[in-house]
Amino acid sequence: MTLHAWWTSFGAEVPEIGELTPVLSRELASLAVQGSLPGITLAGLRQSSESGHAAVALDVDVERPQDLAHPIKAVEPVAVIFPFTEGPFSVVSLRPDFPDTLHQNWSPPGGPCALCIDDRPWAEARLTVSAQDIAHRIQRWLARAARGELHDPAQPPDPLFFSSQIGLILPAAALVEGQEPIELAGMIRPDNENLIISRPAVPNDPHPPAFTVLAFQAEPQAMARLRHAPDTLTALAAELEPHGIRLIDQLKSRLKTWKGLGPDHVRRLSTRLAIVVAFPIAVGERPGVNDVRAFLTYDTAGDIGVALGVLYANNTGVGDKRGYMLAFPEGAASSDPSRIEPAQVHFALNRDLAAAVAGHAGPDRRRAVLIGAGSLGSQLSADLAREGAFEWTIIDEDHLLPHNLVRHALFATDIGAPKADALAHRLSGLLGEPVAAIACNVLKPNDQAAPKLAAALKDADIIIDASASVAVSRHLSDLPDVAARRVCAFFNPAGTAVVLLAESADRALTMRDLEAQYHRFILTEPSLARHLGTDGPGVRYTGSCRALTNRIPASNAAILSALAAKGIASALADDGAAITIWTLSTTGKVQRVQRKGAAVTRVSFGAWTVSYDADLLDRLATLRHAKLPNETGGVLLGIADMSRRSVHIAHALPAPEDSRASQTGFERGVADLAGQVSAAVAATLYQLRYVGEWHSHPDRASAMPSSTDIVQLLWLGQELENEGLPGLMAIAAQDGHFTFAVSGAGLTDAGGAS
Amino acid sequence: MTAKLTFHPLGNADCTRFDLADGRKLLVDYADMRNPEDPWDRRIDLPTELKSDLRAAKRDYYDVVLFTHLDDDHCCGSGDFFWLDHAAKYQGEGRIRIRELWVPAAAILEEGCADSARIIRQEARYRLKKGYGIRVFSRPAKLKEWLENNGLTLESRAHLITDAGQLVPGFSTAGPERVQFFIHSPFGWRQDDNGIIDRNQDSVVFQATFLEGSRETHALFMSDINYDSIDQIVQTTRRHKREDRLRWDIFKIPHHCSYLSIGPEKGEDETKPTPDVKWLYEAQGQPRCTMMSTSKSIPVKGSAEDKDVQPPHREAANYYKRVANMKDGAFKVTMDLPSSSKPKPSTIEITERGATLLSVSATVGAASVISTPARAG
Repeated sequence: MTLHAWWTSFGAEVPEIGELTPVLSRELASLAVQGSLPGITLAGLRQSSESGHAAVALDVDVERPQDLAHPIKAVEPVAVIFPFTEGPFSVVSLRPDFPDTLHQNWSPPGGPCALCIDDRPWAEARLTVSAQDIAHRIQRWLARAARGELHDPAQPPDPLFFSSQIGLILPAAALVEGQEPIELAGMIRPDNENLIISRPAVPNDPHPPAFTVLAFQAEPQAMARLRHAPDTLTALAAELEPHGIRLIDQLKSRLKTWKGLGPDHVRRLSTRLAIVVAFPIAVGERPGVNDVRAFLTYDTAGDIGVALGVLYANNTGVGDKRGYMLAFPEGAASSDPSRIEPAQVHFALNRDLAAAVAGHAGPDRRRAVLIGAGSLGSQLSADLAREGAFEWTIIDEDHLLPHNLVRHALFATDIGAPKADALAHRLSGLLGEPVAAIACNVLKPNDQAAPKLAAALKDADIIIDASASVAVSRHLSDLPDVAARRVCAFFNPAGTAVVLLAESADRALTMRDLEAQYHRFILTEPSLARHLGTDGPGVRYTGSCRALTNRIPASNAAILSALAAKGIASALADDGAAITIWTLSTTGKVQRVQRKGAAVTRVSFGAWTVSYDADLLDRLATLRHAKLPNETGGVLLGIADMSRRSVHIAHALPAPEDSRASQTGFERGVADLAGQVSAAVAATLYQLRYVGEWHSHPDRASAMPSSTDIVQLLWLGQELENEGLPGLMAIAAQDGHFTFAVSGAGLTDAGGAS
Repeated sequence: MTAKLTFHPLGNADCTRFDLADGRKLLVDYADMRNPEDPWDRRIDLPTELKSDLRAAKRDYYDVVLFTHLDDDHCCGSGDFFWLDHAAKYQGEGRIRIRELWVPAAAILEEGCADSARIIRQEARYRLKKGYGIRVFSRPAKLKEWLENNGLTLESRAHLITDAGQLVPGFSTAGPERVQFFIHSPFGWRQDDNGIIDRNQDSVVFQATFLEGSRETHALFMSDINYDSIDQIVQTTRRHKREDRLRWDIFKIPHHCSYLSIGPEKGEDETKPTPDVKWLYEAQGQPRCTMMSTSKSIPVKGSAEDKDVQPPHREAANYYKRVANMKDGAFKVTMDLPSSSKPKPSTIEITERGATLLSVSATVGAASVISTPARAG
């Protein structure tokens, strides 16, 4: 097969895997060469020092049904592109005629199709990324494409994503079908240059707009989406031609009507153009959803008119020099194409925010740092501030967008402003004193923000993590030299419950430990069986593109945020660690369940750290005791963090009923086990996974592994190698003696007589 | 639940499990070929593998076990694995019961057989005499004779016999199992003509037709027959204008990829098919079909294995690969899946999109949980 021309044009061929710069690219290539990735063959290595990227070409065997949803081949050539410095990788098809499917990213014109195998933000993805995981994701993406299962029906129609820095807010009225497209003027806020706010153009506008927005509606037709982002007007016109839009002719006729020397003419002609195109796409049976794309010109409307040969600049010396005159006869269009760049379209929302906040006063001048000024963070901080609580520092990197308004404490007047600044301003109004704001990404603060952030965290008494990000929570947990007690609040995906994790005041129990214990709580507390239920609309964990936002009613968010605010106040009144969950029923009844944190032990095994807690040991002891005098055992579930090489053992399952147990041996059965494990994994929304095996030793036997245990541990190591994890085994013996062993990395005796 | 076919890596030997849409389990052949003394033997530990699947499904029996014929590579070790009714020594805890045993008539009539073949013959004879839990394929004159010698009549056992050209009773694409079995071979008359039993040529050849949604998926299982038997089957089927009975989406390649199942001459690099064989493969194979060779890896040209007279034959594989490419399908070898260094059972899933050989869906993340760990003391 002829490969996409991009491949040979990218950098230079690399003869040896060892010469690739990115670590992950070396791992991926080595595993492929060793044959450790079934169905994947290494096809080439290239690297470009100029762009700072390495690419690994793979031939991927695709699991295909006979009747294909998309013409996916039995073997698909792809390339995985890794940046030299740690960062997100991308996957492109090296087949020039790769079909149009859902869940592709935009690529430059003439570039290869980009597969969206993982759309999680890199900060999240890096926690679990491994070469094996990348390979599995590519295989699963292609298998789902072949079966037509890339699209999750619960998901809104999901167009191609593109990562434009620039956003354009568009009133929904701009694209009402059957109406003439209206002329809109685009303004840029001084505090956010990356967002263009558009509204209908008005004559004699006192604030001259930067853009004139032209909206077009494409004709409905199959496959009516753009897969490549055109970078010139000519290229865009060529893309739009099949969709019934003659862009150049339309532009010419509009520009001709704009000619003149009056203020409105000058206003229009001296702005840049924002060309907005709505592509109606059908997903399954549902028709008529628009995929809206925007393209910004670099040149002004007047200059474009000149380039198209319909206008000439007013050089007559009469009238406004910024005006343009009609060229007659029409000149030839310039051969130099006018450059454009894509922008992300955000629709303006027209909804009110319902804030149900009740409060009573209680002075508290402790210094609190709030991470995350989203729905929960903004509301709980507003609640607490209304109660007079805390000297706040607000940290958030986002800017407020229209869709945030449905559940946010901020209002439409702050649209486009940094959330941290806007929320700080609002809290400041409530408290009558200044509130600090640092608009930055807590994981990657820029040089300017980093010292401020470090100082705020160091000085804090309390850190409230409302980021709803596992990555942020773990990062905060790990920060050295920050003594403040951390609390973390988040909603469940269905928006029916709020969870509050509070570290102990002495930080003997950290957020990482509580994360594991939270998942065990879900599995062992019967009333939490549906806690992370995924059958309703909400977060999907298909490993592919996700919806922009969860569907949580503002009323739920408000109630749950207020409960979290109340919970933070009471958690801080107690020095112990606790996990508290409030669940809202459809009738409005609230159920609260709480579990105290269990003491944690952390052990290093070579590169890996294994953590377990007193409740897990209790459970192992109880399960062991119930089967005495025989041995027993089962599967261990836990959290694996690839970036930190840590495993938190969270839960132990009892022996399957077909296990064979005697006083001298135990062989773990399989009956119903796959079902139980996947149910537990699904119940924790794929946060917990299979991490190893446990078994008991009889009374009077030591907890040290026997020779058969060592053989079993080696077997576990081989099985889990495919998942990038070490083999892990726990042994429970008499009188509270336990051993934890990791393949190839030794073992530890955990705890003496209790 | 959709139907799944699971092939086991056993070297040149067969064992395929059918998991039907209604939960019924059928086993086509059982040959435990692994040498437990040899740590380098890559063939799967078949009894352990099958038993863990049964335990995971909480059952201790197969609804049907079909022995296509009684060669060792299709029934080896059966006496150690199955619960057999005809003698107490084949009964006991841990043995797997057979609700219905399916055999060709040759398996009843054969004289002088030994080992596993004899054990299966005795069990089949016992069940046929008692008149339960048995299905016999074809009714040569000798079967009538055998029944009469045992004080029975052909009429009293007719309901337990299925001839070539018939569907096996009890299975229908309209029922919850959504599958039917059409029998192509053995032919009763063939054995009458020859007088002696030729196990391979008198083996059971069948087409399974699965229905999911409105999609029919056909699996053709050709046991160990040769090109001349295939010619006969093709000619007979076409004479009856039942070409659809030879349509296939999944093909269990006959005789571990022997060239003799394609044509009389091995050929230099590719075996040339007889016209009927060519029609069966090239006209009847459906787009993106899967061809499964239950065999060792295909030898490299000029290697010691290549010079071995035993299959698999490289020249035959080259022909099959050409057919697979023509159909945008796949030619696969059980001992090479998912990798030749660590072969594991391979599953074909049948859905309303036809057949899919599972490579990622079946394995990722699930493997560790399904397989029983070694021991812990």
